[in-house]
Amino acid sequence: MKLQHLAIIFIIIVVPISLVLSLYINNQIKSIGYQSRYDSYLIDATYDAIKAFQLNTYNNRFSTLGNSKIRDIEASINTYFDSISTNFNNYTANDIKEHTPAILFNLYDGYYIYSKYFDTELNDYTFGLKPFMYYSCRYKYGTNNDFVVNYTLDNTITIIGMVNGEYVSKTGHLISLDDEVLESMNLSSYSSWEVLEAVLNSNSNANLNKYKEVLTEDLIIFDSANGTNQKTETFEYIVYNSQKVYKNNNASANNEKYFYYSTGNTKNFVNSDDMIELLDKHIGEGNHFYSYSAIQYYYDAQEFTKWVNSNLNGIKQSHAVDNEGNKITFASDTGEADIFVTSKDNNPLKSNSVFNENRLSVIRKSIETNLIVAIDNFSDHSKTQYEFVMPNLTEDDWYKIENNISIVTFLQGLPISAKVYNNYCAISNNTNQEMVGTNSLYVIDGNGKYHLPGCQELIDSLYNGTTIEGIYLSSDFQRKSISITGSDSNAHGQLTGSNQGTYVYFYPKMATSCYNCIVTASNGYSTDDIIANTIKTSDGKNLDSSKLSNPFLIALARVRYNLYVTNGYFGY
Amino acid sequence: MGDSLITIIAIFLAAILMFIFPLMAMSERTDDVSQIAVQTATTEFTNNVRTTGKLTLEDYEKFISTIYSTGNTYDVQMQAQILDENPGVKTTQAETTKIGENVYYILYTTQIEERIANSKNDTLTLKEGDRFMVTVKNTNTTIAQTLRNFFYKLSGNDTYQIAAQHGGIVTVNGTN
Repeated sequence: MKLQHLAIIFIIIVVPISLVLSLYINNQIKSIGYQSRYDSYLIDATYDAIKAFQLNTYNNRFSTLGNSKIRDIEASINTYFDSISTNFNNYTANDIKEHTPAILFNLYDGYYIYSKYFDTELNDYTFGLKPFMYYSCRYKYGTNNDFVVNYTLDNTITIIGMVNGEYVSKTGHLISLDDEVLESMNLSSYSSWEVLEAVLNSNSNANLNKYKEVLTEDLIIFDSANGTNQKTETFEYIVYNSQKVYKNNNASANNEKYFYYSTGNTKNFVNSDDMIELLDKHIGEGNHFYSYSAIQYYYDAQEFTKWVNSNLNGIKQSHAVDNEGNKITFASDTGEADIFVTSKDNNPLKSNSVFNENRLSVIRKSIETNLIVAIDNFSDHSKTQYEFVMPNLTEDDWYKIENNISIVTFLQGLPISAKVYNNYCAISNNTNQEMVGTNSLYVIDGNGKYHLPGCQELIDSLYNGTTIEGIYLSSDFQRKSISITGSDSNAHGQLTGSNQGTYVYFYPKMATSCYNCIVTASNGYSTDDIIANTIKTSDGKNLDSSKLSNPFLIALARVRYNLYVTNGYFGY
Repeated sequence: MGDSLITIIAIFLAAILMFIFPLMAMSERTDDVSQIAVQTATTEFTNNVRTTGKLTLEDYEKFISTIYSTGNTYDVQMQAQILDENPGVKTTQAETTKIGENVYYILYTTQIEERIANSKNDTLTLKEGDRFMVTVKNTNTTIAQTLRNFFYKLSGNDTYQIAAQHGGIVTVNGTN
């Protein structure tokens, strides 16, 4: 055979192989390009959804009520589909829905799953929110104990069922009775809250007075004497029945002393004499309006924890059973350790306590089980031929889901060149009014700057004598809007030179963010370090617990007490 | 004479076809595979930072070792655009989304590395609203580039054989 022939045979063999290989790899590159684009679309749309939820909840003063919450979630889901379909040129929102087997919305005390369900009215499968599910676990121990514990994203639990032969339904905050703040409050000497409240009202106990807090907020108001004069004014407030009640600074009449700040920007004054009398009792030293929420939290938590410690001792992870009484295994094994008996080691506020490990395991198990079922059901009734299955969520993503309000979206079965797209996205949020995580509080120092609690700059300045001005929920530092009508709207329009003056914006806590922690955070302590008070100044000196650790715990107690707990109707 | 000329041309062509062409084709494919690996790693790394609000030393090193495992050297450029809302807070009517009322200041690769090194837990924490982006380009000359330069030289700016870019908004406040 001549050399030329050999060359031709070689070309015939090599060129097609090379072409196919090149085509294949180019296809793979294209797929990767699509995949990273779709990943971005998914993350951005999920972020838009949680942002919509965040904005809706903190601008909606009724966001904690069941119906209102569902409305906020549905709005957020619409935002997700709108946002993602805007990015995808070739898919509409309805097309995307057919490739979204589930959207998980996990909230403070339970979660919603958005997926396909059977609508009996339409007699067909339709998209919507499935019923709310709690993070619950059943424990069975001997013949006298068979109860369900509903966990939340923090240390609040609800117990329903037979405990020591008696049927109980209780909700409360589980704390460590060795807590330094609790010990210094010395609350066990008071027989009931009424007795304690009377002492607080009379200002007779100097020790307890330290825990009464003056809370302030900057509200935007219109000066009625001079119609166009819009200004911000600082008011003191307390939270009563889950609503903020403000003390008027220049009250001319008795029925103008207190008000609710509604969305209408008008002062809704408290008219009821009984209510005014009750609020008057909160006026203390220096004519300030004192909040007792932190003390009340500790009082209730102490009572509840004592009950739990004496009635639920001996309950271990191995006592967890499913509805048929079979033992459940969890992702993390806490062995023979008591779950509900709290101590310095098993402090529910610490992230590595036995209680917390169990709480996280229960949340994970519950979500995992229900998501698998929801996605499987979706697959059975899907219009596409793709078989939808629940992907493996990473440990990092589980951590986010177990500790914060979050949204997990799934997008599966979209063809991308050589592959089929299959991914999920979990995005959490700690700036909302649904829950108070240990990372949801900001500290304002005496210089008018706000910090993360673990900020090194804050710790150093506290050591050098700066005082804490207040500790507030992170959502209070976000801009809020209120709608205004009538003359207020006209006045505002004149001021801004625009005729669209129906909304005004304000910051409830107007402070400058710290450049060491809030704007760019990298050198701080975790909240676990603050709770355990293991924080040090930058030159290695210990910071006294009264400077940061205790005020932080008191603020956490206050904010958690003021949170509206949806399932708190069980003897709370 | 005519036959030997054809034979020489045939040998020359055969050499190109049998050695240079497969070599070029294979080296191009190797670069393509590297491109896939680098693009995937960059997207994963960036998305991880965006959804956790944290850039840890561990993740960064893992990313670097993944891209270097392709056998090339790379220039990795990170950019963290930090949202500073403080100027906007000075007026009550400010809008956080309005351009001009807030500012972004930028941290570049070496500054990011320095911050990670100086932090307590080897982490750069970002917040919701910041932006993070990564650009990766190869710095060595790959075999495909050498061969291409041998046959035809591009004039003007040099192009990158392997390059990946990804970025976006940080979706959550990172925690320490």
